[in-house]
Amino acid sequence: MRLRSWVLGITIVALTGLSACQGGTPMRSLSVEDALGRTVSLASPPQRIIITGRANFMLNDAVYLFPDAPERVLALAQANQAASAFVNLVDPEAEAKTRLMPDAAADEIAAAQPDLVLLKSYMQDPVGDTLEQLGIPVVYLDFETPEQYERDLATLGALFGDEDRAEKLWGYYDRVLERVADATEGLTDAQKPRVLLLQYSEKGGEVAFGVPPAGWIQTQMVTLSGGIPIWTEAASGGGWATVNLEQIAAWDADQIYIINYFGSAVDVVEQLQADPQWSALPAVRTGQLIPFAGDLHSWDQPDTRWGLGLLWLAQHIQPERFADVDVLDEVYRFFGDFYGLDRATIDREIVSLLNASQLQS
Amino acid sequence: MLWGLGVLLLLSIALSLFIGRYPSPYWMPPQLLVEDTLAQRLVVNLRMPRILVAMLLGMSLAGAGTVMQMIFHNPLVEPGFLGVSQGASFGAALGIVALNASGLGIQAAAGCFGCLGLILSYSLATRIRYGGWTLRLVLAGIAVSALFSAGVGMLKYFADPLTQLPELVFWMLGALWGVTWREALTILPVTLLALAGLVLARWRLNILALDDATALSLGSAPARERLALLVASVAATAAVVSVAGVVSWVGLIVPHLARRLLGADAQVALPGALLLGGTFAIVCDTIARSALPGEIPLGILTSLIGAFAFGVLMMAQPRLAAQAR
Amino acid sequence: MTRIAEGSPMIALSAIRFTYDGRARTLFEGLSLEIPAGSITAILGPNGAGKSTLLHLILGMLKPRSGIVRLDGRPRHTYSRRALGRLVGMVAQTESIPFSFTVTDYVLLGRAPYLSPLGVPGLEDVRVAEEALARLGIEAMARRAIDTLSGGEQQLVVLARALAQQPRILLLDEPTAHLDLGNKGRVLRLVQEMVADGITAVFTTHEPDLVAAIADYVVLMRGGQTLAVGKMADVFTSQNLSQTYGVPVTVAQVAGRRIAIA
Repeated sequence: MRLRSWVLGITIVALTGLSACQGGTPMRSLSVEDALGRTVSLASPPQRIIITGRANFMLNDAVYLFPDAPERVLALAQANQAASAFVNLVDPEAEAKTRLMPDAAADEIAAAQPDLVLLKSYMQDPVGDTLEQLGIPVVYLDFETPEQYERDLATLGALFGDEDRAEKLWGYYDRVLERVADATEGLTDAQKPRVLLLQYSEKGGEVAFGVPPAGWIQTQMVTLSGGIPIWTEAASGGGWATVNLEQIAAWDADQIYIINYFGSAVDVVEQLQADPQWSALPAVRTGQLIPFAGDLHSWDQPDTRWGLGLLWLAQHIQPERFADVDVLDEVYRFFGDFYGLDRATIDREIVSLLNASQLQS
Repeated sequence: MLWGLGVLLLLSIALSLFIGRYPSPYWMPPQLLVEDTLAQRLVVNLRMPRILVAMLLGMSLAGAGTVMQMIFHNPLVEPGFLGVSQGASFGAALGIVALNASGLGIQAAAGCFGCLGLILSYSLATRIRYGGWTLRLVLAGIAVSALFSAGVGMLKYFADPLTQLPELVFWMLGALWGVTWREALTILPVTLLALAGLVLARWRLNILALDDATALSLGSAPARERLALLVASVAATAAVVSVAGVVSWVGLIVPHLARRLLGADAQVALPGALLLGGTFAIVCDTIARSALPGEIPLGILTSLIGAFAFGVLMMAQPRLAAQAR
Repeated sequence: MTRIAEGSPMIALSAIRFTYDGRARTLFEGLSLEIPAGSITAILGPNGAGKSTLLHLILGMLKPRSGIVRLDGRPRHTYSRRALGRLVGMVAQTESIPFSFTVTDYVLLGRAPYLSPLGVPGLEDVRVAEEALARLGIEAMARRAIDTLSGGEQQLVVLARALAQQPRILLLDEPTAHLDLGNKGRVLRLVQEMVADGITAVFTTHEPDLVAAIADYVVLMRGGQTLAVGKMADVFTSQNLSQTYGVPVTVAQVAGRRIAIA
């Protein structure tokens, strides 16, 4: 009798153990390692997830790569219009969910009674620590470089109990990286164009051009694409560094890409081409002043679209080696496979925003 | 000595035209100006207005500083303290954070609020019931500056930290990187007029530095004349602050340097301060735009170089003015 | 310029009433005073008696509630500021000189009423300034900075500035405060010399001995009220001084001069 109850007990434990390995079972606890290297344990897979913190649309986009996200995400923080436009496409209830202020304090978040809060790691100090003291689990994610994407996608996979999905997602990015690496193999420095990335900003009353730091994904993308990022001497700080037109002229880039987060990069390029000083720059004269691609969000940022950005950029930097890239096709596949949008929606909401330089191959 | 300073200013202007990042760091060979259209455009459309604005900035702040130090009998006073700097910062913050204004809008807001700072300080001072005239104005200036400073703090809190906050901080550090002929021409009339007024009244300024009874007995109307000079100083200061942001130390240190070199007589010290201030600002701004690939905020350089020059001069021989006469 | 008739007052206050803003107590109630030209008048009283206020009323820095101040026969408000500057010179009590002018530059400030509003001193002005320095015997200090001088020397420089102003009325507020005996004497002698040249001098002091030394007329003040006004000989008595200072004072004659002993 005792032996049978033992066997029964072990079998039950084994079975529940096996079924837990499949994922998706509500009552199983799990633990993940987050971006700050901490191990966070949850009593059960999270169903009431809040994503918040400043400039978190990139985090939102990453979370919504998982099909369970719409059911499990409870609330989001307000961001700009483009961010809400995209989230509305993938989550029908996004509008109702987007109710937190971007700088919401811990108690306001806690009042919504989440069982998990996702934050970027620099939010630990203002919000994260306080939330944990209130007993709410916090998982930090970065999603700022390709390596971090691999790691953080796995973390999300564990949280959603959908490791397969995480692997599939990383597989996509991994293949993009491989494709680019293969095509640029053996390039000598002489074959690599001198590339300059400039972010155009107009707030503060003045027009300013900034270059990204060497460690950011933008710089990495240029290197991976077989170009030489010539601005790295200027950007030793932690953020965008302002450079004046003289320095831009002195660098004498072969290609200049214009990034605009707050408006149309195409419009800016047109303006600059008409400007008497810019039109004298060699890159502009040879038609190599190029607006950086983007739909609702610019493709240069560490948003989920960076795979598209890298392919597009590589095609522009090394056209012969990437002649086979069909950006439009990549767009359909990315948004269709990973966000579940149908072709009509993609046409209407995404492709309509692409500009001509993005679609040529 | 004044002629020497004038020559120095002209020299700094001339040299700065050829210093920059194009075609390679620091020196541009003059013959390039003849051959290269891009070089011509850069020098005419970027360097020239920027040097002009830097000169006006230095002159206005130094002149305003001299006037205020003499009127307030206080060598520690600088042009912004009557609520002008903080008011202008508040106006700019309002434009950047709350109103999402264009460049011209922010400049206008900064200029208006800078002048508002003076008006508020003055009104408040007339309602204070104790202390001499200068004490009242100093106290009112402190109160109004604190008020605007709190306003700026609040706006900083609400600013979008990725976009607006860095813009605001950069603006408040003082920088000339966006200056084109448009900005230069908007501030030129006001500053030239104000500076001309100050220079014409330079001997009169000495009288206003005396106590009220003596000034009155010498046939001046101290309150009115001081107000006129203050208005001119503040107008020039607000104009340059609206374009360049808050550039500190120039208005505080250059008047001292001028007095050390030329003596306290405003007839000589004021023009000297203008020349010295102009030169100083041009030198600092040229370094700001040329030393590194990225732009260095001007305010940082003026503080560094200014403090250093100040220390050196304070430790040197006391009076060079005696020989100069 | 109209010649004043002999005996006609240089400074005349008629029925002056004055209160400080916000204070209930009236400082002067219907004060009338006539000071003849070419005389020295002393305003004597303890600290806080209102001596400086009276001087400022004459100067025009303070305005009376009612009554008229006449200078050289005309109401003060009929003079333009510059004309007033050429008429009245002032040596103030706390002559704060915050910045180190040279002596010559400082004395030149006295020429302000003779210059146009935006004018600067010319050769003639420099000559007058140098004369003033010579008159006071301090021409050797011409190039020195004021803040390197002793208190007494500074006071002489201030007097030189007043002299360069070529006024016909000279107001001095406590001119010998903080001066040692030697410098006191010099200042007093200079005032007498200037009066001998035709200037009318009015000075305030709390030291009776100064008054006794040079004053022709005396105004005794205490607590904002004038106790006695008149010629020296009449006013400078033990009784008046005791009343002024609130302590028994004896006036005695020593070496042909009166002194006050408390």
